[in-house]
This record gives sequence, structure tokens and C-alpha cells, in this order.
Amino acid sequence: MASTIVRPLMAYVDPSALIPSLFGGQPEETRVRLESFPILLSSILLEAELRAALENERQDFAASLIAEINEWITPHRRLDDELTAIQEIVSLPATSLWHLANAMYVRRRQSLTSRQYRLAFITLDEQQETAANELGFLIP
Amino acid sequence: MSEQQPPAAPQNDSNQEDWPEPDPEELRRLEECLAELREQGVLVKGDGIRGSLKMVAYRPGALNRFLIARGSKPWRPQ
Repeated sequence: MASTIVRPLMAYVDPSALIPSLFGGQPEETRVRLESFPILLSSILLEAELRAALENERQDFAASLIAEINEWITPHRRLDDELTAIQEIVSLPATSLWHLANAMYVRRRQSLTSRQYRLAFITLDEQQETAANELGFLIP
Repeated sequence: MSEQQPPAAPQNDSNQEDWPEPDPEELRRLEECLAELREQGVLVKGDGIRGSLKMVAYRPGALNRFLIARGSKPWRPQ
């Protein structure tokens, strides 16, 4: 008997996944990945990274550029457990590490785990994606 | 206790073409869970406006400049 497919409803968005939408070019299919999730979450760090990327490309920031995010993650404790778990798998730059730790942090919240909600992780950072996959995130 | 280990990921469901349409009732329950997390201070509500992200300028190579600037490896087509 075929198992029932449970559609994942939430995805964590690394800022790298938004860069093709802002500046064109490959990979365009990332847009499709983003649009397939009703709920998009990210760390509040995403805005700072996008602002820096826009500045580097000599473009102005606008609030509409981050308006697709449904929920911003604001940890109220240190993320040492999550950071340690990630660094046991891979060495990541600080911001990549932080985004993945935030996704782990929110995934552990009881109100989500009790209902078996799953969290996908969308990124174009290859090392980060590999680590996310090893940590059990759905990679769409 | 408000933190638990996440459920194990079911197998063979990462093909988006196979995903059913979101169940409105399930989505409503998820929204309730997210509201609870906002009350706990774990989340801050964003706008959630789809289609608001538009191209600001065509800049070939911007993705790799971004990745390299953050200390990551350049993107490679899969």
C-alpha cells in the first residue's frame, strides 16, 4: 500500500535563495521552490544580508523585497545546541551557520513537533544545503 | 517543555510535482501553531505577501558575489 504523502507547508529561506529573484540569472527554478510553500520563515539576519547584497550591487533596499517572508525567527536563548550539532557535521561560515541554527531552533518547538509539521530548507549555498539535508530538513 | 526533537522525515516525498494541494484546514491549524509561537516570542509576524519580490536590476553573477562575500563557495549548476 502506498504511503500517504504529507505535503510540507513551511520552508526556511536562506537569503541566497532570494538573490536570483533580485538580480536575475540562474537558477530560476528557485522561484518555483519558494512559491510552493504557503509559509516562508527566516532569521531576522536575512534582511541585513540582503541589504548588504543590494549595497554591493549599488541598489536600494525596499521593504517589499522581504515582504514574502511570513514569519521572522527571533531566538530567545543561545543556540549552542544547534550550532554544535551543525559543526559536528560541517564547517560553515558564520551567517550560513546561523541561518541553519535558526531553522533547527524553530523546528524543535513543541507546538510544531506535536503536530508533525515539517520544515523544508531552501538555499543556494551548497555546503549549507548538504548540512541541512544531513540534519533531516526536506530539501525541495 | 517547549522543545522536542523533530519527527523523522518521511521518505520519497521531496518531489514537489507529487505534492497535493495544501489542505486549508491543516494550513489553518499551522497558522494557530505559528500564532502560539509568536505569543512565546519565538516568531515575529512578517508581511507574507507573495509576489512582492521583484527584480531590482539584472546583475549576472550576483549570486556568486553574495556567496563569496559571506565566505561560502560559488554556486554550481546541479
